[in-house]
Amino acid sequence: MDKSMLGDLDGLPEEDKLRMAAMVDQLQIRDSLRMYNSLVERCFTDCVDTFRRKTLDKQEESCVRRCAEKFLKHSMRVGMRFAELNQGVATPD
Amino acid sequence: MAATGQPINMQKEQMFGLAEKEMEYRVDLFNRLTQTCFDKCMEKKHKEAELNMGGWDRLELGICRRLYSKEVVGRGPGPRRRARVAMVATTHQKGRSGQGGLQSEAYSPLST
Repeated sequence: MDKSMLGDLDGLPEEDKLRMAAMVDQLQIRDSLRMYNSLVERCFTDCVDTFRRKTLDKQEESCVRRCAEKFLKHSMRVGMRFAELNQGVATPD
Repeated sequence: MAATGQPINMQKEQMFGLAEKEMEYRVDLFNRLTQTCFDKCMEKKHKEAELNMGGWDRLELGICRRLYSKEVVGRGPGPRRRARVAMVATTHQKGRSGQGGLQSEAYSPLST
């Protein structure tokens, strides 16, 4: 989510533009925190099954790393598609 | 001037409120879309960090279907549209054939 979501706001006065930009920034911060939280929870749920020790096993650690990478790549991919579809670009098959 | 200024300000505030709500809605839609598609398309074992080819295609399809169904829900069904939705759904079920799935009708709940 970025400023392209604002569409055609160029006609607005400066203070309105600033206000909208501030709104977008706030939403962005909130969404980043929310995504971080949900990512941590997801990878923990997927990868960690037992509580034998306090620290992560080698497998658990690499699983978590892979989980995070995969989810972030996935999220970027969805974001690209989302933006394209929002602008009415035809999707390739 | 002061009397006419008041309602214009309130209208502006309302517009800002609406714009904020729409942005929140889009963010929420994106988050739900991401979550649903990930849950449905990716394996849980996390064998590797890359998005597998199988997951990739299903992801693309999933996004299109999800957005299209959202659009349909937003408009409400009529008899012809019901037939169209059914047709598109069966097309997708048969596999990745035909169009990309999402008609390029203006997708915007508050189209300005």
